[in-house]
Amino acid sequence: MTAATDAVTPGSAQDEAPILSIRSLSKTYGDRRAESPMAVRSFDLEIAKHEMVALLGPSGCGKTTVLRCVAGLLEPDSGEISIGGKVVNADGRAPARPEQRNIAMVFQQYALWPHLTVRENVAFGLKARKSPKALVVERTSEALKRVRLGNMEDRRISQLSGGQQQRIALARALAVQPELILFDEPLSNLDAGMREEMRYEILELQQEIGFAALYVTHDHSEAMGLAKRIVMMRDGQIEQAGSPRALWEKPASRFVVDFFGQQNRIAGTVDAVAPDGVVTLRFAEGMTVKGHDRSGNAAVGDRMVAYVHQSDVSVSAGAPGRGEYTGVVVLRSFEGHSVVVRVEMGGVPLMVRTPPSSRYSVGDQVRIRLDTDSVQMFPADV
Amino acid sequence: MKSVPRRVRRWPHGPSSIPELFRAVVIVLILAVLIVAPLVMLVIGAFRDKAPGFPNASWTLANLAVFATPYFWTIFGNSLLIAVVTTALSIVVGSVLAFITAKVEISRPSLWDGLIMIPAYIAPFISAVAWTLLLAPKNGILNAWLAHVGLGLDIYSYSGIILVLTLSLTPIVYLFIKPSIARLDRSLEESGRVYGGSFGYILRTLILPMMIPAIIASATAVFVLSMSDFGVPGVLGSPANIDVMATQIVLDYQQAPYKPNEAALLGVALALFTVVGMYVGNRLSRKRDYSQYAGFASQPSKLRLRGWTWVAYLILVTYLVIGVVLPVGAVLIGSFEPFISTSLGHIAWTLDNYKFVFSDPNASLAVVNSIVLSVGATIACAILGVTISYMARRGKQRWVRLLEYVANIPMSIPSTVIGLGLIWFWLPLHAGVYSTMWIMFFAYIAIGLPYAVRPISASLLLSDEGQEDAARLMGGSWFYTMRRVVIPTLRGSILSGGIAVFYHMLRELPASLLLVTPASVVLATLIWDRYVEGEFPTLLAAAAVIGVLTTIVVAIGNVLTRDKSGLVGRA
Repeated sequence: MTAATDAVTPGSAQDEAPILSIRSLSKTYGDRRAESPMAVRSFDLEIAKHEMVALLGPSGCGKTTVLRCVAGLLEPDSGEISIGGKVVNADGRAPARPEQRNIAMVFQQYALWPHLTVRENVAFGLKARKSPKALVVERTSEALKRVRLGNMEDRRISQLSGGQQQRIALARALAVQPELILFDEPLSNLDAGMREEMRYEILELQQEIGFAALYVTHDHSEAMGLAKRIVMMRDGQIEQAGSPRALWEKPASRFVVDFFGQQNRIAGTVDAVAPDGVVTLRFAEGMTVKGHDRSGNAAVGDRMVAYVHQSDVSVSAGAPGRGEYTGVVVLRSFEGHSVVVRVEMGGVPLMVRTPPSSRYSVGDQVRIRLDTDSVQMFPADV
Repeated sequence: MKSVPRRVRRWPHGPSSIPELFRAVVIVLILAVLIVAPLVMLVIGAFRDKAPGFPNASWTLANLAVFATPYFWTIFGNSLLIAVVTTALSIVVGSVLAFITAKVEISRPSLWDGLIMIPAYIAPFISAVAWTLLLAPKNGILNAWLAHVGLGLDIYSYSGIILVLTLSLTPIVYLFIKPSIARLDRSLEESGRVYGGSFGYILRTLILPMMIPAIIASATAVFVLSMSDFGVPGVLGSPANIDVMATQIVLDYQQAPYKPNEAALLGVALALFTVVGMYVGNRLSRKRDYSQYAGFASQPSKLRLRGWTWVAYLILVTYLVIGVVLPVGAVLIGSFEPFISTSLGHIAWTLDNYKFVFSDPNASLAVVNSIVLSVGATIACAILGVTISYMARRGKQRWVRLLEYVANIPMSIPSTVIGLGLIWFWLPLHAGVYSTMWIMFFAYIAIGLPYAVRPISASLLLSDEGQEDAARLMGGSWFYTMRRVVIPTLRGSILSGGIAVFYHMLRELPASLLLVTPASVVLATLIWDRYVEGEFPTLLAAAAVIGVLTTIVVAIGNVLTRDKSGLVGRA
């Protein structure tokens, strides 16, 4: 809720100004190693009003470094950061201190102060800003109600569960009504069930209140479920940025697909490249698979790898039709929400997620279908 | 997590085997003889009308009359005043030092950690003697210099006693408070900064409140130790007629008019006071235990003082000069002089004092006795420490956990009182223990035991019980498991506990003074006697011997622990 800025300048230009803008941010650590992990090189990002952007990547990719630079907890080597139109970091200027940035942050370890009560924790930011007492009381209880913990005001932090603690941390962030909320892997300390519940709660609050957010995570499903836009990072640089669907359907590199996991890889040699970029890959004697070239320069005779997600392979009983394959079930694992089977197809093992109702047993002959649109082709490792 | 039913062989309500029962009984007997019985006999003695061992003694309440005398309230007031002021000053100095090394960007913070701990290794009464050389009213070395600017300080005073005690006890405060600042999870502080607090605001609302448990815990320890201390008020208070509880107990027992029963009563009163103090302090600090919020290996954010870093260094260096360089320098220089000179201009260097310590029959006996008793107590405390901690931490019955509490009792009881209790217990028995080296040995074990039990027990609490279960499942016997699994994992804590026992016993004065005989003279009592006689140069050589022995043992210990575990001394 950044109604204040709207009131000052009702023009539409202000509306479109990004809440967060990062330009050619660089940060290296004074390490002997030239390529130290967590370093960030010429990183750019803009977050619009009401937008939630996820920074996704494995540990050491630099996503937390970006977040900490935005928070003012780290000083970048170079680059410019502005929050709400105010420049907070620029070359040759003293950086704004964290408390001058009008931001809030939700930490991985909750970072609630154990000697304060729930109410005191949530009110901390408002009190530090010397807000009038009535406002402190009002916003504190409003924020607590939003996370459905209005009845726990006088509890001590140690009396709360992990999920409750993280909701208090969320309330603390909402209470100051900041320009931008930074999330630093806020769910990774929670157990699986609570993690999912909290994810939907954050999404719901974001839709309701419309705060802008930068959300750092290494969990791709969390990033996809929460953010409108995902910025995938690798070694301090952006590997791919786009909507969750774009990343899922058109991954820019093997790194991106590998990060999503649960992939089948089929290595082979390019037989043909169609003008629309569809590659025909031969992976065994007389067996080919078709998929979209993601390298942009596939040529006949190249070694490539076809990627297909476990749930994008379809198996069924019966004889194979045109463009289908025969396979033998060699492994079967009932996992409740799905049955995972491993089928051998011309010497290539494929893991396949099938509905829980499917009843394959080891040794069954099945027919296998691979949809061209769900197969991604990347050059094989050199 | 541990769904495997463990210890199915155990009896539901008793020890699992005869050897375990046997071990428990042996430990109970040892603790009873070393700690419980002497204290009980002391309490009894407080309500008898004759000295220990005298026939025809009967019960009386007459000794209680001492509480009605103004003199009692004077010495009690002195003890309390010295303890309270010392505690307050140590907390301030220790917190400032801890804040500097934990939160200010200085070079080599871990080196400073080591340097700040040095005063803890110097015996307080030796430090007191050193300060008389520096600040005696007429001929103190520093006073000779201060006279030029028209100043003169008198070390034989309340402030003198408080100064020396504060210097000796500040490292304890540092040890408690440093981790509470340094290990505070970084995100707790960062969230404070993000939510809009300036550094001063965060310090006031977040960091200081989180330090409170450590402050209470260290205040408790310092209060009990300064209330119990005998050596410093003994050296600095007597010339100025400042008597405290701990010194009065020894005087009542040893000097005419002999009042052994009153000594016992004063001992009981002092011990009650310190035990209650320890209990209350521990309760208060445990009520707010924030240790679960300690971060892991996160580098704490540091404050850049830019142009003001020199202030931090100035504070650290000043502390080291006053706490280490001056007293150690005074002892070392004096030990090479034929007589104590007040100026450093014309020193006639000599080795005679050291020759005396190693050739005089009495002095060389003291060297041998000190080493034998300290090494013996160290070994005994290490063995008892491992056994008691293991039984208490791994035993399934509640009562064995009590053994650890009993073993830690001497921590909160003045050594003077323990020494006196041993006399009340052994003298009437005529068992050939009283007035031999054995009673000193028992005293040293009793006083040293907590120094061993605490680190070993703490480390057992952290170590994984599964390792031992695995060893037992693989067919290892109790002793085999102890030898191959438990003791190796406890190696670091046994070593550090043993070192603490060694140097504390090497310098043990109050109990030794009560129990010593010509044949069992030790370095501490030798120094004390020489101080009373005013024989400074040889006294200082003996003090230097204690210092050198302590340094060697601590250095060896540091090398050994750093080599193997890789955990000690690393941030």
